[in-house]
Amino acid sequence: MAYGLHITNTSGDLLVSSDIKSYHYVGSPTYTGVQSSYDNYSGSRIYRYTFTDSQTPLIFIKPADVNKFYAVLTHFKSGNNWTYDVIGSGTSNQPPTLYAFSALSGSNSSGGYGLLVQDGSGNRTFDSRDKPLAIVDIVSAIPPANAPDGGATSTSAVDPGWHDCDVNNGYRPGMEHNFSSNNSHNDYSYSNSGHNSNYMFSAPSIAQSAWRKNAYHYHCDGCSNWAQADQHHTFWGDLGVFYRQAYKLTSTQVQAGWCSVKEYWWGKAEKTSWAPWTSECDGSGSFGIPFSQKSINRVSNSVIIADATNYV
Amino acid sequence: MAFGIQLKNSSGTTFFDSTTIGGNFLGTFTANANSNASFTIPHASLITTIYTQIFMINDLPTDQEALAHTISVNSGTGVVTATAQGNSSQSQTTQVVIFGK
Repeated sequence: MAYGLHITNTSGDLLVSSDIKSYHYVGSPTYTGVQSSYDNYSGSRIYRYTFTDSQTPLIFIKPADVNKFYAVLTHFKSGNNWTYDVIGSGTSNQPPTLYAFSALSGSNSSGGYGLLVQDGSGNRTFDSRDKPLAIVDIVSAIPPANAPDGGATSTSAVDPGWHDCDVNNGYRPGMEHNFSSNNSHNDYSYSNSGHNSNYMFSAPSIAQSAWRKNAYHYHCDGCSNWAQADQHHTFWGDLGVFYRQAYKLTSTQVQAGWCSVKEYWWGKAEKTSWAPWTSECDGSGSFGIPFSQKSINRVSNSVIIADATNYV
Repeated sequence: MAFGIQLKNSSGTTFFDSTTIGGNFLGTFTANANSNASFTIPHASLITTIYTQIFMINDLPTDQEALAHTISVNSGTGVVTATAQGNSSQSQTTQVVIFGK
């Protein structure tokens, strides 16, 4: 550098620079309500927030419950208006608090003391009056390949038995799997010497996972008895669960895991006979799962950990 | 502290010091669906470690796979590359946020 200011920390990493802008606190997105709920297995809630920023802010989550997984699920952008959907595991509403950080913009902040650093054009790169982001640690995290606690499902059809026309209640128990995901996570330790209840993290949900079970039943009454009319009993069904990547921040670990978002269920029972021909309890509808038996977009993402105490 | 920097807020509480990891914003770019994109970080030589976060923008399809770009970082040149994945209906627009320490 020909001129300016560079400050490094005790590890030699860049702390403050007149060449590179630092992230600063720009506000807390507004919570507007629960968008959707899913109450089976581990369950989940999708919470919605809105925020206005001309830049692309980093969003931090301060968990409402440290025993739950959270992540920013979707970023909607329209002009400078951002809408965030945040997923949280569990079957009760516990929206987290969000904190947004962006590179400095606008004119100088008020206040007559502190540290102000500008680049060669006079633009602020660091201003202690605007609450610069102080990071505790950064870890690279990836969730396990299989989201269900019961592991990968088999696509070999199971026989759920015959339950007549009770498609919605009779067949599903025989198709169940441990689709909960509370215990499916990879764990990463972080620098936690100053840990307190205000610790927060930034990490979007990018990975998706979907797993299914298939069912088939067939039996015939009368097929082996020439004196009795044949009556065929058939059931086809599919049960699947869709997951999104999420994180739990404990006092010692970042846990990269999954939240079950929704389920897909389809069943069709058919009882047919000839002479006279009859057909009962035909099902309808479709399964609709977008994919299954795998996880996609499963890559290591950077999880940033910071202390929200500085920004409350 | 024997040496280094220590910044305090108006209450006298230290919120930023030499043990902190700085939140250095290095850039952000959008990789459109079905297209590759790259970004060159200015002043990359000042940074010891480059990190990225990626997320997909706006509604995702619910009837098929929605694939984000894969990201590669050349720390020597400071070039971050996003490579589209899947077919034309699977590939989604990906936002890449780059920061470092």
